[in-house]
Amino acid sequence: MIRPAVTSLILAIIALVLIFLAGDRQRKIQPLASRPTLTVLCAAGLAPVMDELKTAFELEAGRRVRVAVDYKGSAQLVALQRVGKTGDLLIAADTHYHQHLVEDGLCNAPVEIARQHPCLIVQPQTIHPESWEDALISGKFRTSIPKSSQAAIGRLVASIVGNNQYRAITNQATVSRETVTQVASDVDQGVVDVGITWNTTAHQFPRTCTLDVPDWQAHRSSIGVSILSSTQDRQAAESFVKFVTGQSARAILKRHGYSSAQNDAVEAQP
Amino acid sequence: MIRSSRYFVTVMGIMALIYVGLLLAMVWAHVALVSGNPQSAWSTLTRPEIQQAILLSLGTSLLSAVLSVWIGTAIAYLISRVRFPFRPLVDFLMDLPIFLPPLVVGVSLLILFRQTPLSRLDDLFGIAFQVPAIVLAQTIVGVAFVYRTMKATFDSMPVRQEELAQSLGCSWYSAFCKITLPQASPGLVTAAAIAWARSFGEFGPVLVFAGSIRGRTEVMPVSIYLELNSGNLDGAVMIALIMVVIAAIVLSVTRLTGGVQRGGVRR
Repeated sequence: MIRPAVTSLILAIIALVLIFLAGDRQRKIQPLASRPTLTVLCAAGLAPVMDELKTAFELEAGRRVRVAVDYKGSAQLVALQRVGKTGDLLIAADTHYHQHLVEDGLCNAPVEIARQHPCLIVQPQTIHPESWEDALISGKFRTSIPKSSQAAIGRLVASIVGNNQYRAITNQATVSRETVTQVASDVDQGVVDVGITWNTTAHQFPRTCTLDVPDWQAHRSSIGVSILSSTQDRQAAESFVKFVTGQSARAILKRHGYSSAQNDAVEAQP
Repeated sequence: MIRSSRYFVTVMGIMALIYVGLLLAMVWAHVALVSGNPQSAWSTLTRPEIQQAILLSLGTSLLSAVLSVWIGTAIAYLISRVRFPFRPLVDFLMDLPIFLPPLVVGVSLLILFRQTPLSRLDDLFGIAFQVPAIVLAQTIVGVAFVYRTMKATFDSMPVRQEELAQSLGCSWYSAFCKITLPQASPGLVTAAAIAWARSFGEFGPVLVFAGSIRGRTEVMPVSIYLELNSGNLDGAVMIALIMVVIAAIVLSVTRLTGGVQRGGVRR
């Protein structure tokens, strides 16, 4: 009994040292680790731009506040927030997701920070389809599409083309995915020829080509930020909202392919 | 060897060849992808958050394995040796984490620690969305695997020697420590290896209960998920390869200590 007990104790100590080293490493790479932390629940597809926004905010806030981001699918974030009731801010792939929590009194109304629109993503060597019907329904191409029940883009595209057409797209699809990143990854890896994704997601996969569908470009999805009712530091949360809707954040978002309400207004001018 | 036996062995050999070949091909596919873009894969490894995820994965999985072995072994011995009411029910409940979808385990833990009176414990010590949540999620599943392995080990051991020791004046505790446990040590090592491997690769419950927070609760499977979501497939595959290498090292050590190949009982 003594030998297993001693072995267990030694292993447990090694484990705790490793966990401590991980924490210590975090303190070294994030000197703000001991500072108040804002937890942002964020759509996983926004990870590349969010990482940059987080660093920029911490610098602008004079390193008084640290930001921790929890990345998951938007629908998953909303479902888990109903149970977990934790975190300070929510950034979902579409403001539609915020509405569920607003109705439950779990967050305030979202403030729009950026927009994106659906498009087709193809492999560069693929013969480009003539239209979205040719790409997605003709059966000439292997396709990956987002599920309309789980991904915001699926619901948006279904509303544009009509439920019957989207059903036809689904029936013809080689694979249906939960997130747009999975769809883009399918095209990037050559698993399929064509996929439906956001223009911003396609931006993350430089080896692929984006095909804008004129009818789809006008239908933009709004990405919004909400302060959650579970926030422990409303002032810091408000300063984050102010930052992501501000000029410097807009520049970062634009670099990642996102447009904003302001940019759209400028583009609409003759 | 008679003709029918030769067919029998050939069929088994083909099945083994297909499966092992498939596993090797999977690892080769990883290596081929990484070697196609070594700079991108290597740059993933040099990132501090990935190095932190490796340390956190090793630490939490080791701690979970130790906890799982203690808890799982104790319950397995109890169920194997002691007759008490509702014993079959406890036996059934111990299997729950094995056949429940991993995400459900995470959701259940989240509800337990955020929606019930236990949330006070969470408020006090900070469990959900923190490192303890990773250990708890890994341990819940790990215990079930240790239990299954150790129960089979204890069931296959004759009770006679323990009874003999007790009849000669040994206490139950002494008989367990001096007779049962040494005999069960190969099973114990196997159980520990399974618990560690399971904890090391645990994803669903960790994602839900501990979150996928960079620099806080990011273990290696979560890193793979985050890299895939960022469109960095090379990075995700590189992390997966490191997991394969670490798992191979741990399995080799386990084999050297005599756990896996000898079976559950030392004769």
